[in-house]
Amino acid sequence: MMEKLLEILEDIQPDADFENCETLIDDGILDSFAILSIVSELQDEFGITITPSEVIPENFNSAKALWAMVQRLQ
Amino acid sequence: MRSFKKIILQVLGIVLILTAANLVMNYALVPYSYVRVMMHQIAVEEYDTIFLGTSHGLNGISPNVVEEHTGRNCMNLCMGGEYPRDAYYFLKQVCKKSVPKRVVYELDAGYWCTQEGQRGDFNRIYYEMPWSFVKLEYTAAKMLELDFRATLFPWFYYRGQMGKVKEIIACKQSEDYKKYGIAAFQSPAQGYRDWFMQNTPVFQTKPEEKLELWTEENKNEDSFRYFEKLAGFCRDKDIELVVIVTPVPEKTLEKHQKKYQELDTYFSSYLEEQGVVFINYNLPERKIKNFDYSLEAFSDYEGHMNADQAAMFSVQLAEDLNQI
Amino acid sequence: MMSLISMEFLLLVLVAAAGYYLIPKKFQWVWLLVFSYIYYVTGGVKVTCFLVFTTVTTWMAGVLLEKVAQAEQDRFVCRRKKRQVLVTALLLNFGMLAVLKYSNFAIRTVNMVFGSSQGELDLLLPLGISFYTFQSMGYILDLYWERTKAEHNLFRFALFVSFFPQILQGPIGRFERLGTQLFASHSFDGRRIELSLLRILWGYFKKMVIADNAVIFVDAIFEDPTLYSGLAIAGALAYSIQLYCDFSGGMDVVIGIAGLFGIEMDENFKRPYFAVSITDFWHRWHITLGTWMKDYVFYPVSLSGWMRHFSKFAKKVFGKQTGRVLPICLANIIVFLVVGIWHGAAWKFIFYGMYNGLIIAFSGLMAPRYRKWKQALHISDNSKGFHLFQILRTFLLVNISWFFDRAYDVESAFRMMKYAVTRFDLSQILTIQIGEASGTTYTFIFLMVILLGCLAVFIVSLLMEQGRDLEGFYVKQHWILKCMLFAGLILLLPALGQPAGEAGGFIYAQF
Repeated sequence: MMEKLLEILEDIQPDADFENCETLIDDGILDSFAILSIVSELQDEFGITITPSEVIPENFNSAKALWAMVQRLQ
Repeated sequence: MRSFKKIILQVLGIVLILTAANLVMNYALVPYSYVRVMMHQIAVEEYDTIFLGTSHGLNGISPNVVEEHTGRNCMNLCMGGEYPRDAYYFLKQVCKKSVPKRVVYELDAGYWCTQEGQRGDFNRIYYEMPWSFVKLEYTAAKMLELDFRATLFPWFYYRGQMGKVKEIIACKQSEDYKKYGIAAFQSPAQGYRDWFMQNTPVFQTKPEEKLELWTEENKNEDSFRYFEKLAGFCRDKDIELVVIVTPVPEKTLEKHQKKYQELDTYFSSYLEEQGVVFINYNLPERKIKNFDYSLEAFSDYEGHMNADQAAMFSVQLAEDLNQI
Repeated sequence: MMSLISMEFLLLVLVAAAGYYLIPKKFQWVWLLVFSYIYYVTGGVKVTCFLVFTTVTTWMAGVLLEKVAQAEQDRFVCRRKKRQVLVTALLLNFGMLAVLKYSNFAIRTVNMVFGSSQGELDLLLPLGISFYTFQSMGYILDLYWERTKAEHNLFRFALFVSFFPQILQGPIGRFERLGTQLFASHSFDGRRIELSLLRILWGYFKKMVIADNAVIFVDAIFEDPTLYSGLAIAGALAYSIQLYCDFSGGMDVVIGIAGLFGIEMDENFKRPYFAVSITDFWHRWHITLGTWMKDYVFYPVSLSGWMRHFSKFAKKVFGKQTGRVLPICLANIIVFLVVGIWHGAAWKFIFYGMYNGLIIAFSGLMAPRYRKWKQALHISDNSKGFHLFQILRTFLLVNISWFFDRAYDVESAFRMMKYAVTRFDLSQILTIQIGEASGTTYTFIFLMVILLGCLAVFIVSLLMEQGRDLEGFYVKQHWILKCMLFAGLILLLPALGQPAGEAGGFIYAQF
């Protein structure tokens, strides 16, 4: 399932290294448009609801963190 | 502890540079002013009557003439940019030497309905006043609200004098300056002589734009507050306080009849409340005999009069003061 | 209200800072609270009532939110109750802000549309109300989303709302970062104080020497755009200089003063004119307002239920990619509508907001296409030429937006833009008078002062943009050099700075 996540991420921002990068937010690789696009896709794909309180750097800094959030919300 | 010593050293260094720069700049940029002469006079002479107020008073009241007709020793301390706040502290400074018997406050309504401006001449009395408790009070009352540069760097408002540095320095090194002389204040248009500003008649279009008419909505609360302080101070010190309005050209009166009427109504009742004698020389019954009310005799619509007119007005003023 | 450049303000800061390190550390926050209220009360007792109202209602709402969250077992009941508290607090405070700030605008608009002649209301506008209301509401929303803990001590909370250096013009602080620092104790640190003082001076330099000189040209040109029709571009440029130096200079002063107490505030500016896009610009200009909008308007709106429905609908109609971005664009436009309204109750500010919002939305929609074009043209994002092109393009777009911000109304903004492309006569600038009596004698000199001042700011900004450690460089210098730098900066203020207007104010203090 993690592959599905990476696929989504790469579709939204093709030029980022999602597999290894751990500072997607801190280094400004994802801007707010990208973040919300990711949220939108994750909600549709995994049938979860992401609230504003989940939109914090810790949850978006790496693909791993994102995946952890998805699992938690499922 | 080493770092603390270093801090002190650094602060001292900065203060030293700033003080030195200030001394040089003040000397080179702030021109000699008759306010310095006034400050000197009130420090060495004792006066019975003091005139406070604005440029109209400085132009219109000859202290020597009034002195002659009242038999009381007079000094004119009116000047452009002197708001009631400044007048109050100016009087306090006078009283450090001796308490006058009478204070005549020349009222220009413009100063009661505009905000104190931010230019050198509005701070001149402050700059020339020697350090004392009165000046400290004055600082708290006037300077605290202002731009800190006005207090810390008196030369700030005189940067425009950069081109005249040579003249200013030459003037300050002259004997005249050291003796509080008046040679520096003489020009073809006007000259500070006999303790008031003597305007030479001019025959060209008279300026109108600086005329500030009384507008109650724009009341400057500070002016009223400090006038009341001044009145209270006079009561405490047993000084007789008289308020006057100097005559303006007939043309001005015609043009702004309503405004001058409002001025009279408003201040008559206000000053009555304050228990202060009020003489308004723009009322028909106060017309001065042989006085020339045509615009020719004034420098502008506001009512800055010529020197010979001033002498005539001062005679009338002295007579009226005698009758109080 | 004391102006940031008044003698009394300097004295207040001096006394506050000296006392701060002399009293017992556990009272330091009380000391700050006392001085914050002394400062605010000098602006009037009536306006202080509004400040107290916001403080008390927000504090109560905060405590209540926490109680509900702890006491209520049922998740749905808990959410409902929390929402009630939140909505009440938001309505009370934003409602008050709206009534005070926008009633007259509403009346004017109604009058204009219906031709009626309802008189305007005589309302007090407490200084800094936009800033402290936003700061307090941010706290409440953080609590609602359980991102922070409630402050139980009313007086501590009062300090968070009223901290005097920042209350007039920001930066808008977050409780988690600012609150904890305000309540902590701080010991005397000479180096930090020295650097803070330098920062204050640098701020005054930007404000007095650059902005206050530039404003003379800006005012002349924008007051009479037809007379100075050849200067429309110069006017916008001068305004971009004035606005940046005024606002960021003010921030340097504020952040520097906070630094005297050992408090590190959030930065509000990050060299905005080096931005490569409008989005980037808003990440560098008035940063704390931008992040506030992002966290409390943009994300919540984008993530709301009805946005999700809209997203599903849009994906069906416009396809996956556009459908995904479209709702975000909509949320973004809403944000900039709010930003526009925040700036003031006038249509030109709404235009100003919409202009920014639309550009960002457009570039969001076009992003995938841009990427393809760049690939086709072999343009690399990392090439220097392209980077410079992006900076210049953004600066141009920003300058166009200033026409709306500064011009008298929307109509004259458009007129000036027309002049900007149809007429050009730079020599007109020398006919602008400086100073009451001196006419145009000093016009050229002060133009040079502005240019040299900008050059100084540019060099410093460039070095910082390159990541050089300027503070480290300063610290290493000999103490005599440091003295000269300090004294020199201080002397430049009266020597080349312009006396501020009657109000002596900073532009952003009016919001």
